[in-house]
Amino acid sequence: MSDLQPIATSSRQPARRLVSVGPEDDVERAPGERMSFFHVDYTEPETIGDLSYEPTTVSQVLREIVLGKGPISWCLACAPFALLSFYSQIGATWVFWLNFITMIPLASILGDFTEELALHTNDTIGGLINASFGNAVEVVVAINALLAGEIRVVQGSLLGSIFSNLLLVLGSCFFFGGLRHQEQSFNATAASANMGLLALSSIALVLPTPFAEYYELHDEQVLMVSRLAAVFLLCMYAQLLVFQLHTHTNIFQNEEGEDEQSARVSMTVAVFGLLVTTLLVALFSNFLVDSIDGFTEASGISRTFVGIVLIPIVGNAVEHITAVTVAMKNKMDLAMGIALGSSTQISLLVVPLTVIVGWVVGVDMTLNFPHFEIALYILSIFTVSIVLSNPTCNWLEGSLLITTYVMLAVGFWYEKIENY
Amino acid sequence: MSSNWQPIDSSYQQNNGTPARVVTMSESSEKADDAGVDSSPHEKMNFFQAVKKVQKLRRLERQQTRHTKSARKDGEHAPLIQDSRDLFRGTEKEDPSKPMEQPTTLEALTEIVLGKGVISWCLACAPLALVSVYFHWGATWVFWLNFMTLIPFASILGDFTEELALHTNETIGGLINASFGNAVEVVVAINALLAGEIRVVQGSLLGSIFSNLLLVLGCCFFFGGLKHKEQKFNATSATANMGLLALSSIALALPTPFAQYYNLHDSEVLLVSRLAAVFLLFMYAQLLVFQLHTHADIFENDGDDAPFTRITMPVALVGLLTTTLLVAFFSDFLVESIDGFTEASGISRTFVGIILLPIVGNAVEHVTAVTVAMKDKMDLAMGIALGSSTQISLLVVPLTVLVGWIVGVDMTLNFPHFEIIMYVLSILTVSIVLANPTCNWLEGSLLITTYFMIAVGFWFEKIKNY
Repeated sequence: MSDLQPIATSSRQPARRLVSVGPEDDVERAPGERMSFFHVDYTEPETIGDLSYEPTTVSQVLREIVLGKGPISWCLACAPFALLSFYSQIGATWVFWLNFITMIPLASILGDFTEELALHTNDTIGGLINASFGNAVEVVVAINALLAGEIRVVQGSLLGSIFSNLLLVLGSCFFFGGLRHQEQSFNATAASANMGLLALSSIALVLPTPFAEYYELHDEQVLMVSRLAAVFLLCMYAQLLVFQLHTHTNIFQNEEGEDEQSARVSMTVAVFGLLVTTLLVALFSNFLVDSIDGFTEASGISRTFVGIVLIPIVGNAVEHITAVTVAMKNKMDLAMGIALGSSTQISLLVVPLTVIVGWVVGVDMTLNFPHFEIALYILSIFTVSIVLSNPTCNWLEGSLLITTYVMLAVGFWYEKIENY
Repeated sequence: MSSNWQPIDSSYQQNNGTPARVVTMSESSEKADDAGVDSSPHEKMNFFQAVKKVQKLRRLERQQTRHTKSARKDGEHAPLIQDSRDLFRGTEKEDPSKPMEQPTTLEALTEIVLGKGVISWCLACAPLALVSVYFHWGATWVFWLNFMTLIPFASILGDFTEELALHTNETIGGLINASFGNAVEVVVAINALLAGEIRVVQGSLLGSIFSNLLLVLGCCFFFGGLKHKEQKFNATSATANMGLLALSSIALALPTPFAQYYNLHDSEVLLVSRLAAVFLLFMYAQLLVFQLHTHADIFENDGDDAPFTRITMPVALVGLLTTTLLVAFFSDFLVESIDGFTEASGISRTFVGIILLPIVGNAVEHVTAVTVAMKDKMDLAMGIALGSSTQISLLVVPLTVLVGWIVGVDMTLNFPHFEIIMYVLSILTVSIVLANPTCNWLEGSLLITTYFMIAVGFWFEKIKNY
């Protein structure tokens, strides 16, 4: 299968027109444009291979989406083995890793279908769709774990996803971008708005935790505080959407008239593909979550480490590669939009969503995280906000953030929480 | 009752557009630019300058409306004050040569006490509050009636402070404002201190800071942002204020871990608190020196504007003292009723201290700041909000510790962990929001949501013995 698109296009966000702020060394960029957190477009990137080949029929497009991603698509070969391993007695470690690897390309395909669906609607609804489905894999994994009663895994995977986006992805963008370009600048307003929202979410996480420790509150009260805080966070997320998609869209203006990129599949096909992929993701993540118990016992890796460091890779790997590629093309606003926007989405939408879903289903999911993790969360936000206070970046800042992440991972490796 | 030309009044009211003097201010800041001093097109607005600016604009507004009234009455024209041209709402130009009318003392006093619309109606609660105390109506009634009574007093106190400050020069006037700007908070805190209600003292001071930092600032950004898409402010003064608040948060964190993590005697915790309080007061004194003396020339100079005072200095002084005594009187009832109120209503003492009591001192300030922000004077609004929190954290909190030292009450800076963590996180959040010198409604909503989440947390906080 020829490479119709490089890996870079398989981002979670739509991959069409690129708008960003930066030095004028790329002809596709429009001056003075910035991009949103969700409705990210970028120009049809340089394709490796035959530029004139355009997939036209539905089957060709579908083949491109599913199989046209190079090494990522090869991971799909694990899918049948993953199914087999679950039903055989081969051992939890195999089940875990096979399902793990299977889900990575599924995340990418899900992103493509989301993008296709968003292209069929206008800017606003498209942004909304991206805002909701941008982290669909994280949502599915979290809800699976929630329904299985694995509260620690849920908390860990969400917190770990935020850490990964905030430190690892952002750091890699700065690092690799900085190796290529001496200094890159980005839009400080968007960055500061995101950091403010993350700080708000950190307060929400701190709120119930001291209660459980310092005062003799009943568990119901901790739950109640968590649920109220979750409602506040969801309201904040709704306001963020209104801000970006309605009142202040001019800050996130898209390029006018460059609309030659249209959706490749019809809306029905996109919806269908989206649903099918979501179901597949749900299926495989179910196996993944089920195997965690056996995997932690067999391998000796702590449950916290699995939740915080390993599971987020599933949802983030492809996004990570995209963001780094884009940063190396000197489109730092776009890369930061992917990284920061994703962390904001998870902290303001997915985390409270799991609390509410737990409320509905009757699982006692709270925002009661271990102190250690909350402290590290706050310190990470603090570190990132210091780094972002200056609207230029370089490779050293990137390395700083990556090192922070690695140090956190080392800490979590040794964290063993028995009964939580 | 005066006419409706003063909708809601406080020391910091401002009604209309910026007078031309502000242009002078940015010109002087541009000169400061040439001198290599950091400046921006926006007014460097420290708290005292903010207060003075609002005072001046309010004076001009009062002059104008008084002239309008008198002009309507007898058809003659009063002089137009040149730079308050923007204040006039479509009134005709007037003859600058005639002198201004001086209101009689009685008129002025009536204006101050009764001329505030809805706020002044709350004064009607005063006799009811007295009755409720002496006839034992029950703690809940006593609490709420005294609560309502104190709100207009905060405003009247502010007016008398302003009048007194006008009779002195810039420096002393700034000093007076700096000391009496939060007089109500000081009086309530000292009353609670003398009654031995340490938790209430700590709660009311911390709550006042939260309210100014999150609620007032958030409302300014929110309502201002609804009206104007994006507003700019001076990041330098914002950063300076945040730096000082961070310092105060360290002072609060200092004794608390001692009490918990090490086996220190209570006397050592007390000593640490008292030393920290001295340092904070020293810092506050330096802040005053900075703003009123060494770097006063960066800020606006009022030299050629003859202060227009409505009452003489003795009257202002007497008024100030009387109002302070009345505030002390009613807040005494308020503090005494807290015990019964918390029992009867089931509301936690912490919630009463942190959320309810600060409303007394802050309500009027809040409305002013929001009004000013909607008029696109964000620096002024922020000067009010941030300056007030800095004052409380650097002046009022250490003052209560020292007063406790003198009186023999064991008031420390030993706050519960939870409250310190919330304090630090709030400062962190606000400093992140203020890092970018533009603001919009989303940031305002963010700060307001933070305040509500903290309030929810405090609703459930029940500290039995502290």
